[in-house]
Parts: sequence; structure tokens; C-alpha cells
Amino acid sequence: MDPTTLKYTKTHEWAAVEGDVATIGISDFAVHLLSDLVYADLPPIGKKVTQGQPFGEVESVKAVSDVYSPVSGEVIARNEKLPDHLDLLTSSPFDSGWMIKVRLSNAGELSSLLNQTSYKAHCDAEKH
Amino acid sequence: MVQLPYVRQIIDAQANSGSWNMAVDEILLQSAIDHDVATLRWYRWREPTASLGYFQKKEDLLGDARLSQLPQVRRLSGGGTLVHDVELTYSLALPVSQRLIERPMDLYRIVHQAFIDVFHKRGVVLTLRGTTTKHANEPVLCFAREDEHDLVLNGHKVLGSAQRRRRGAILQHGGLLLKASAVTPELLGIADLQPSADLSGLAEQLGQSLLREVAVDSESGMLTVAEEQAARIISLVPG
Repeated sequence: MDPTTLKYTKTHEWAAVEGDVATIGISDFAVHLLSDLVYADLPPIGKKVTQGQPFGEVESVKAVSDVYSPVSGEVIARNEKLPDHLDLLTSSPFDSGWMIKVRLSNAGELSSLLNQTSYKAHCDAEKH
Repeated sequence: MVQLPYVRQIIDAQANSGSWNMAVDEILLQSAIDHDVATLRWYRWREPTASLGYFQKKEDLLGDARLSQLPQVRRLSGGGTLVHDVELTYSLALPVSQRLIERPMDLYRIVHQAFIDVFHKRGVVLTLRGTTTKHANEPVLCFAREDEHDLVLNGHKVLGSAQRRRRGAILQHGGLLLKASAVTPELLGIADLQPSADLSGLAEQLGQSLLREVAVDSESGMLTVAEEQAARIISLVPG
């Protein structure tokens, strides 16, 4: 996935949209903030997710954090490799480290997501 | 360091059940998210209680007869199982609006430093563990695990903390081991390691020290009626 073409949330998730399916993960900035990840809990296939609501949880060495869905729809795939290979989030957050694929129920929601430039500005603001 | 404009401090008047203690922590995080309220809470445990890390399976305790017979609760935070017994526990819930938490890991250092300072005045030298070695198969008991932010006394872990982050707000909580529990006598507390240590009035003094560091303004308070009702409902739900 090319990070420059992805859509982002202020809570550091990304979405890559192809047709009516969004592939979703968390950004390198989020991975860095979370540091040593030890556990990821992903939703089952068929689960309905809602934009802005938690769809999963990740545990790092010192914190448990929610992961929020950038879009609404139904989970049609999950990265089964991820729970046992959390290093993929660090080594390849925008590609092999993807979390779930969601069939969109409302493509209009995509307009509320950030492009990479806006997302980077948001991250810079958070750092200061 | 940026300070918090206002923190409500709650010192529980009596030791409570594990389910109540964890329910109140969850409500404090919710109040931080919904109402922009920052709270520092101090509490104790009515009976020896095992708390599981958020993702731990209850089956993990079956291998240890000591733990499986205790009342069990689940924490919002991760990590291993804790046996709460002769312990002073704190929780700090901070809303997203508080600039202090831009670097969440700093919060461990800030809070633990307050413990170091207060105990230093009491002649007890607590230190940060610093570097650690992670093991492939971590022990079930949290106090048998190692983390760089742990506070140690004579090489024994006496304070460990963990965080839950939700919608930008943070709940950080941790337990100070005052004395070894009869359930886990191998985990020594401050009174075992330094019998002369004065452990009176700790919540008040630790609260004062921490709030002087992090808050412009603070006052003692209690749960609102709505918070108490919500905690009561959560405390009835099995973990």
C-alpha cells in the first residue's frame, strides 16, 4: 500500500479503498506511540463495524488501546497472521501489518477521512 | 512540564471488593472521556483478590491453586495477574484535553517519581528498575514480571503500573505492595523489606506530592451520584 494514497483518521488508523472494500490498519505513528506490542484482538468475520467506533484492541507492554474503524460496514477478512506476528505492525504497518477488510456500507463516509498531508499535520500537532 | 488545570482527588474511606474497585476505575476513565474530568484515586482491597490483565484467560490461573481460589476481577489494563491484598492502589484518569499526556509513557515516570520522593523522606530508598530483559514466556503473576518503570526496593518490585487508553483519555493505575500477602508470600512488600518504614498517612502524602507536581488546582472529592450508580451496575457484571 502506498501511504500517500491512503485515507487516515485522527486516531491513527488508515484505510485503503478498492471498489467497495476498505483494508484497514494502524499508522507507523501509532505503532511508534504504542511501542512494544504484545497482543492484538481483531473482530470476527461478519461483524458489523461503525465509523469512529472501536473494532479491535491492541496491548503494548504498558498499555491497552482501542483501535477505531475509519469506515462503517461488515468485516469480510482479518489478517490471521497478525496476532502471532505483531512484528508485522512495526516492519510493515501499511502493508503486511493490515488488520481487517471491511465491505463499505456508506462510501460517503470516506470524505470525512484525512489525506496523508492533513494526517501528517495532525501528527505534528500532537507531538508539540 | 505542562500542568493539569484541575484534578479531583478521591481517597476511598474503606477497603472495597475487587469488582467495585475495578468498576470505579472504569467509571473514572469514562468521566474523563465524557465530562473532561481528571481524577486521582487511592483505594484498598477488602480481601485478597486476583486481577487478570485485560487479555488474560481465566484458564491461565488454573495452574496455580493459590490464585484460582481467590475472588477474580479483570482490569482494563494489560499485563499479568496481580494479587491485591495488603496494598495501596492508585488510579489516575486523565481526559484527552490534558496536554500532560501527549507522551503517555512520561506519566509512569511522573507518578513513580512522587512515590520515590515521599518514601525518600521516610528513609525508604525506592528506585526505578531501569533496563530489563524480556522473557519469551512471561510469568502469570505481574509482580514476577519486570518492566523498566517498576519501582524496586532492595531488588524487589514494590510498585508496578499499567495504562488503558481510550478515545485519547488515559487511565493509569498501579499497586504499591505494602506487605506480602499470605497468598503470595514470595512477593515481599515494603514492611517486609524495611520493617522500620513508616507507612501511615501514605495516600494523603503521596496525593499531595503528586498533585503538587501535576496540577494547578485540586481538591478532595467523591464520586458523583451518577458515577456511583454506573459503577454499581458495572460491578455486578462478571469479568
